[in-house]
Amino acid sequence: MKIMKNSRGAILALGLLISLGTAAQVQQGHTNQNKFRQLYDQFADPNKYHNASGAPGVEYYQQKVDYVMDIELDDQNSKLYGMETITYTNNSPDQLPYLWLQLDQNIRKKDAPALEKNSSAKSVTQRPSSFVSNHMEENFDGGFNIDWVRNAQGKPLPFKINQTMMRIDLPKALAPGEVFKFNIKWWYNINNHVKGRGRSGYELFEKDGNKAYVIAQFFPRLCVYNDVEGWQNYQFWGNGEFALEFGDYEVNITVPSDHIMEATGSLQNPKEVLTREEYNRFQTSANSYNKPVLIVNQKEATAKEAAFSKKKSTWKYYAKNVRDFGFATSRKFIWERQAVKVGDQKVMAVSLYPKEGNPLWEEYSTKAVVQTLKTYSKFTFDYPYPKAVSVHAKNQGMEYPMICWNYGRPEEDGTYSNRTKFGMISVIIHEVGHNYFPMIVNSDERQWGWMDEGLDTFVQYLTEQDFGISYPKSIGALEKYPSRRGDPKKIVQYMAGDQDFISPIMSNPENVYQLGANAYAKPATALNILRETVMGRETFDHAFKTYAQRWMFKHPTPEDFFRTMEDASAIDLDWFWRGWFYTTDVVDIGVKSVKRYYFSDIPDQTSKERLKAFGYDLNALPEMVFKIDEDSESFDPKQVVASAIQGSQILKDHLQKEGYDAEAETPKFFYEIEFEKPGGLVMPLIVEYSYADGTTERVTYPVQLWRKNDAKVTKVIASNKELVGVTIDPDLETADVNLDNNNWPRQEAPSDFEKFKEKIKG
Amino acid sequence: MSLFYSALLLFLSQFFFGNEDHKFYVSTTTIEYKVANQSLQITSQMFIDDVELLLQQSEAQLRLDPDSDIQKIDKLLESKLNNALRIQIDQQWVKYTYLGREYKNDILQCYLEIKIPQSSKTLSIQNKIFFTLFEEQQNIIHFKNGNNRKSFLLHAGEDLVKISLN
Repeated sequence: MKIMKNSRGAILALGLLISLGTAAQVQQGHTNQNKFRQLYDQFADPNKYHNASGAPGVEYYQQKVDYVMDIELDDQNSKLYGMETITYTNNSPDQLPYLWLQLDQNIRKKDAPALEKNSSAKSVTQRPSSFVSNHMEENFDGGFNIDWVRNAQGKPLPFKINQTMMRIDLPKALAPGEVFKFNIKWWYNINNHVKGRGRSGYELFEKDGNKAYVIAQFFPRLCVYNDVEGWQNYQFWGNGEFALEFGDYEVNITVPSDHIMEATGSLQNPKEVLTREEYNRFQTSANSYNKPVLIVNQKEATAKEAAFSKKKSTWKYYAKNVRDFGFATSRKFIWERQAVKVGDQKVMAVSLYPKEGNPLWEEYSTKAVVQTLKTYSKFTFDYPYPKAVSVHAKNQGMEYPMICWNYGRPEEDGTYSNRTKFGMISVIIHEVGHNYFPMIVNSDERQWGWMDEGLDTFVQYLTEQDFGISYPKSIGALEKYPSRRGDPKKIVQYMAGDQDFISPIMSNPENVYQLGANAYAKPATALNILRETVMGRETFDHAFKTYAQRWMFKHPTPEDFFRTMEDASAIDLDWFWRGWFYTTDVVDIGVKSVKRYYFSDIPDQTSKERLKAFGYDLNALPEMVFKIDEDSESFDPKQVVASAIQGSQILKDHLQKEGYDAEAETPKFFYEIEFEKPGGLVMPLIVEYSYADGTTERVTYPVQLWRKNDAKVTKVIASNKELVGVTIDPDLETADVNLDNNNWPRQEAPSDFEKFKEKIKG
Repeated sequence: MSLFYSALLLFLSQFFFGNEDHKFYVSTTTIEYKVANQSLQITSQMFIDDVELLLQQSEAQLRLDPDSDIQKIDKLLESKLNNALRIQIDQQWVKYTYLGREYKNDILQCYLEIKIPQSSKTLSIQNKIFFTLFEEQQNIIHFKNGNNRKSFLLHAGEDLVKISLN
C-alpha cells in the first residue's frame, strides 16, 4: 500500500490561504500556557545537592544515625519498654543547635490533635458496636512515656515535645562533621491493631488467649535533615508515612522464651534463642534454594499455644544501612525460610504466620517473596539486604526494612476465595516490594506518598504478571494474573470522576480524597503508560533503573525522578509530568470528521471567496491546484472513484515533468481526518485505519502533534484503498475517559450494561 | 463528646487508607439515561467483600465468588438493593428490573433497569448501600444523559440527590 504521509507538496494552495489569517485587532496577551512548555514554574532549581540531570549533586550529603537498643515486651500487660543509644553524625554543612525526633506513637495519645483532623459524619445510621465505642468507652491511651533523655555522660538533656515531634536542645550547636551521642528511655501501651486499625500493635486470638505482635514506629527516631526541607518535622497525622535517615542498628529484644521472632537485620544469636532442632533447621534452610524449610511447623506452634512461658529470651539483631527497624513476635508463629540467588548474593525469603493463615500461607507466602526479589531486582538493582520477611497480620499490609505485615486470612474451615488468595499474593508483592521503594530508594513519604506507593505499585504490577507465569497453577484458568492496578482502562473511572474529589498526584497524602487511587493506582498506571505507549520498554526500563541505582540509599525528590527519566532516555517528558502528575486533567481524544477530497485546476466557491477576501487575483498567482472536498458544492463523487488527480491537468503535467507516471503512481484516495481533543491531557495519537479490502494499518502520531493546537489536529491519508473506518486507541492503552468519540463512522462504545444485557439475551 | 468519637472513628479508618492499598469504603453507580429507549440503565459497582458482609447479615453461611448458592444470593442481593438504592421519577418511587450481576476482580457489578417515560422531568437517586455496615461509606453516582455528565458523592449525612432531566 502506498501512502504519502506528507502531501504538502500536492496541496500547493492550501497552506498559503490558511496562513493569511484574519484582520488584525488588539488582543489580550498571555503567558506561556503551552502544554509542552518546560516545568520551570513547578520544579525546584537544580543545585549542587540535586543536579539538573536528576542525580545526586557534587555536594550531596545525608545524615547518618546509628541506634543501639534494648527492648523488652511485657506480653501479659501489652507494654513495650525501651532504652536506646543514638549516635548522630552531622554530614551537613550546617550548625545544628537542636535535633528533632519523631514520636509516632503519640498519634495514639488519647488527646492527640490528629483525632480531630476530620469533620464528623452526620450519620443517620449507627451500628450498636460503634455506639459503644462512640459514647461508652474510654479512649485508648497509647503514646510515648519518655522517662528521660541523657547525654553520653548520663547528664539530662532538655527536650520539648510538640505532638508527634520531640526537640532535643544540644549543649552547643553540632558543627559539620561532628558526632553527638545520647540516650533515651521510654515505654508505651501497645494497641490492638485489629480493633483500632494500626500499622503497629497486636492481634488477640480469643480462642487461645495469645497475641501476635507486629511492632513498628516503636522508638523515638531521628527526623531527616537535608537541603530540601531542613528538618522534615511535618507532624504525623496518620496518612503521610515516614521520612528517615539511614544508619546501623544493633537491637536486643526480650520476649517470653516460647516466642518466635523475625525482625529487620540478621539474627546474631540463633543458638541461644532456638531449640537444637530449630537451630539445625535454621542452618539447613540457608542452603535450601528449591523450597522453604520449616523451622517451626504448625504442629509445634499449636502445641505451644497453652504454655505462656514465664522465662525470657533475648533475640539479638544487627542491620547495616537501614532506615528503620520493625519486628514481629508470638508463640503462635510458624516459621519458614528459603534461599534465593539474587545476582551474586544469597537472600533468605522468609514467612512467619499463625496457623490461622493456613493453608494459604504455607502455599503462597514464600513464593510471593521469591518472585518479588527476582522481578524487582531485574527492574532496579540486586536486592542488597540478607533477607526479606513476610509476616501474616490480620487486615493490614505495611512495610519496614527487610520485614512487612500482610493480610490474607482463610475462613475458619480453611477454605478461601480467589480474591482472598490474589489479595494476599498481591499485598505480599507490594509490601516486600517496598524494600526497593522507599526502604532503599528513600523518598520522603511524609511529603510525597506517590514516590514510593506509585513506583512500588507499578513494579508490583510487573511482578504479579511474572508470578502468573512462574506459578501457572496459581491463576487456574485465567489468562494472566488478575492485577487490580496498572492496566490503563482500570484508572478511567477514577480519573473521569467528579473533579471536586480529585487531587493532583503532586499533593501531600494528608490532603487527597482517595489516597489509594491518587498515590497508588494513578501514578502506577501513568508509569505503565509511559513504558508501554510513550517511551517503549527498553528505553523506559533503562531510565527507571538509572533512577533506582542513582538514588539507592539516598533521598530523592520528585524532580530527581522526573529529570532522570528524561536525562537517561533523551525523551522530553515535561508535558507528561505536568499533565499526569501536576494536574487532574484527563485523556479524551476523538475523531471528529473524515472527508474525502480530490484535486482540481478550478477553484471551488470556498477557495474563490478566500482568494477574493485577501485581495489575490488568481491570474497573478503562480500555477496552483485546488482541493475539492466532500463539503464543497463542486464535489463530484465520480471523480473520487476515477482518480484523485484526474481533474487537475496542472498536477498531472507537473508530475510528468518530475518523472512520475501520474496515473499509476498517484494514490487514488485522499482523506482529510480531523481529530479532536476535549480532554486536557496531551497524548500520542494512536489510530487504526481500516480499508475496504479488510486490511488495517496502525499509525502512532507523536504527542508533539498537539503542540500548536491543543484542541484539534488534522491528518491527510492518501491511499489506493478506500478508507472505511478510523479507530482511536484501539487497545485502550491511554486511559481515554470517553470512548464514544473514538470511532468513525461514529459508534458509541457499548457500555458494560449493554454488553451484559446482550449476553443475557443469549 | 459524640462529635469527638465519631471523628475518632473516621480518623482510625484513615489509618487503613494510609498504609495499605486495599480498602476504602466506596461504591460507584453509573446511571445512564437513554431517552430514545425510555430506559435508565444502572450499573452498580461494589467491593465483593462488602457485599458478602452485607448478605451475611441475613444469611451467615453465604459466600461469594465462588457463590455458595447462586439463586439465594441473587434474591437476597435484589432485596438489599431495593432497600438501599432507591429511585424516584417525578417524585414517584419506581421499581427496577434486576438484570443480574458479574464479578470483575474484586468488584461485583450489578445491572438494573428502569422504564422511564420520555416526558419525565426529575430524577431522585438515593443510595444508602453499606451505611449500616461502614459509617465512613461513600457512594458515588455518575449520571449520564447524552453528552451531559454529572457526578455526586453520597454519604450518611446526605444520601439523596435530585437531578433535572431537562
